[in-house]
Amino acid sequence: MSLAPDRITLYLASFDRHLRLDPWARRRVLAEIEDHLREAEASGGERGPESFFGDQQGLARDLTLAWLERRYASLKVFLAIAAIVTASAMFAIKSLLGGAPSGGAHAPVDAVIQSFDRGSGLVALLLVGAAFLTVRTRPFELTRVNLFTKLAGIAALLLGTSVIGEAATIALRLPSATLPRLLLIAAFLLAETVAVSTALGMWGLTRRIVAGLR
Amino acid sequence: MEGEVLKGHMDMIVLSALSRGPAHGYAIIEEIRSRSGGSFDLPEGTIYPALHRLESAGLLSSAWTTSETGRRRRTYKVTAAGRRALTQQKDMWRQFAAAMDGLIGKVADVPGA
Repeated sequence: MSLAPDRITLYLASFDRHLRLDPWARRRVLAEIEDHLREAEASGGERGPESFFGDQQGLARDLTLAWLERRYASLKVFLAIAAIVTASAMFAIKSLLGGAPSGGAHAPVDAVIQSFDRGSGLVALLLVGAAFLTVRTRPFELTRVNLFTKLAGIAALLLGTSVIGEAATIALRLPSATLPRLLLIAAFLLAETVAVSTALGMWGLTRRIVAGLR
Repeated sequence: MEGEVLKGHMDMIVLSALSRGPAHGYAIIEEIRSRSGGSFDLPEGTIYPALHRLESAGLLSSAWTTSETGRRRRTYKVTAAGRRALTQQKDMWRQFAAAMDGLIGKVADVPGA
């Protein structure tokens, strides 16, 4: 008696229900496990899928942990990049806008937005530092990874808020800025947006995996 | 040999199995089984988390290939960092084995042991 295809399909469907990975990783894991089971079947294996891989929940957990390690490492890299890019762009844009007045009527609004923008940027950078400190001694302990992910999420959202505040500040000063300066500012703003969006995306993937392990 | 005992040495086992050339998950398990003379009968469930972990550590790389039957499969190969890690792990293992040989020998030499 060989492995019936429906047993493999059933096993994969049940296994898939326990996997808490992003779609790309999930497709890859399922394809690998299916290839393995089909090859075992073609080689004349008489064992059922469970006898190869054990219960679906245990296998899903082990694979989820392996993928968490990957996504978490990427989150650390992207968060650090987002923090560096945002801080650098913030200073660069400030100096580029230095001589440009915001206009008398908009001055109070401008001041509020700037404080909000700088405040959220500063808190975000402090949170990034705190997040890295939590995992300094034990880089891959689930409780700490969970805390890192939470802090990273708040930090990334605050970095995003800071970028939006910066865009508003720039908008208020647009009329008095020269074209070359505007192009430079736009480039910095774009770099910030890309860096923060990538960090937020990676945070979303990591958070989903961490949630699947609880 | 018990799977739990092998789990502690999984990185070295997988890197060694792949040191002769690229292979996919099923072939890696077969290679381990064959080269260990059947002693290392790894549970399949342990190999994929190990492969994915080693890949994220940069010790393995992987790519989709197509089998003879037309099925898509993920094939793994050892990277330069993986080869260096394997050399280090082999050296450590040889030192450990030599020390353990000495220890076991001494225990066996004690009268009544």
